[in-house]
Amino acid sequence: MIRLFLKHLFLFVLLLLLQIIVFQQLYFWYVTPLVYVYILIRWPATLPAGWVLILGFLLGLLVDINVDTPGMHAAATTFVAFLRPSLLKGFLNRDEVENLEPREKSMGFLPYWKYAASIVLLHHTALYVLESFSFFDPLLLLVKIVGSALLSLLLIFLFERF
Amino acid sequence: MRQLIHFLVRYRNFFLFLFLEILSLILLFRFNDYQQGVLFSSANRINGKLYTFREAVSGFFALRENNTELLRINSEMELKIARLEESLRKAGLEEEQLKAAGSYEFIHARVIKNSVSQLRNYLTLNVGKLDGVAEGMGVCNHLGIVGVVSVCSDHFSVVIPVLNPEISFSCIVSGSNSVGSLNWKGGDTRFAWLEELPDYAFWAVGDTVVTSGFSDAFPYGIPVGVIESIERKSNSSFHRSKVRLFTTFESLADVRVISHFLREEKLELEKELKQ
Repeated sequence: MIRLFLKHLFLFVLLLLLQIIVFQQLYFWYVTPLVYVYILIRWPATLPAGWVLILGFLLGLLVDINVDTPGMHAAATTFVAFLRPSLLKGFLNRDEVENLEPREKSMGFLPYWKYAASIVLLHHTALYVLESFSFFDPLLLLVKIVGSALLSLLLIFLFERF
Repeated sequence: MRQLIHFLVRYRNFFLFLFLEILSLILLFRFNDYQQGVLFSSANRINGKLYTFREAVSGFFALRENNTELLRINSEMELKIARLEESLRKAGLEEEQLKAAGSYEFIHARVIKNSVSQLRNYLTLNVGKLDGVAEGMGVCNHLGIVGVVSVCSDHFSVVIPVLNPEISFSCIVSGSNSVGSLNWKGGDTRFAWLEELPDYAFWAVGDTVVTSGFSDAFPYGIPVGVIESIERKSNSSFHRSKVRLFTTFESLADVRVISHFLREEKLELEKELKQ
């Protein structure tokens, strides 16, 4: 239990720092990978929905504080944190929920990537739609959502292999 | 009553979701830009430390490049000063008079956090109130304007750069009296728009745009960019033009905060006028 907690704490801090120090600075054609969502994807399936919400909100807020967009990332992570339990349940066809950590190996290739891709896409869409409130350009919005989602998923694919 | 409690307990996650989402949106729409608190920005102490560290690491790898650039600028400056002194001496001005004429100074700063990929971009500088920086001061580098200080803590400050649609700068086409406001519209970081320009006659593609000196942040004449193209609006007497910015925001490192000696006096005077 303690080991599990420490492992996730370590992942939380590591990925958050990676996001803030490295990935937030990358800039290919308006596209930024948002790998911190991987933290939320990997929380154990047994984590109560209320905690997922609170931790999701905190995760977003911590990113916000660092990129000076108070509330924007928090709103997006809270949104996917709310949908996460239903998504997990939807893509898991068996009842093997006890202590399961959503990973490619434990869930199976297709269910896992369906789950991860939906979370990433929903999160990026919520985030960039909120961002576009002050200036709306549908094409740029689409490029940002699709481009960033592809990059994030590629990085998550690599993380899954470590 | 029991049913109500039952209802609340049953849907507690939904209510928690609503609460957190509303909280986020309040943060997003209330704490925007100017009134943004220091706590919720990268000017707070922990973030400042984090960025200082990162900048120290990444700055190390760019040392050689920066050095060459600085030497080049330095020689350019020396030449400029020599020429200026010469022309001033010809005009018969004494050195004492020259010193009194300068009304602003530069506070040197390093950009410890930069962003260009967001729609609303912000920079963080490694100087703050204790270094003499105040909210509303202009920031430029050796190429041109960078932005305006939005919030500052004791040791750090956050700058709203040109690459943020929420801010606009009063600019003038060099050599004419056409004043317009410069605004970035997202997308390409090399270009911004100069809007509300009244006359067409006095400016053309290729003209240089500089700050007008009408705002408190910038004195007259800080370089901004070059007019790239002109867009005529059929139903109004105003035109807008695309401006190619001098400053390359992707590689900002050393900047100057412009501290106006008479800024406070000017602000006070304007405040009195408003009352």
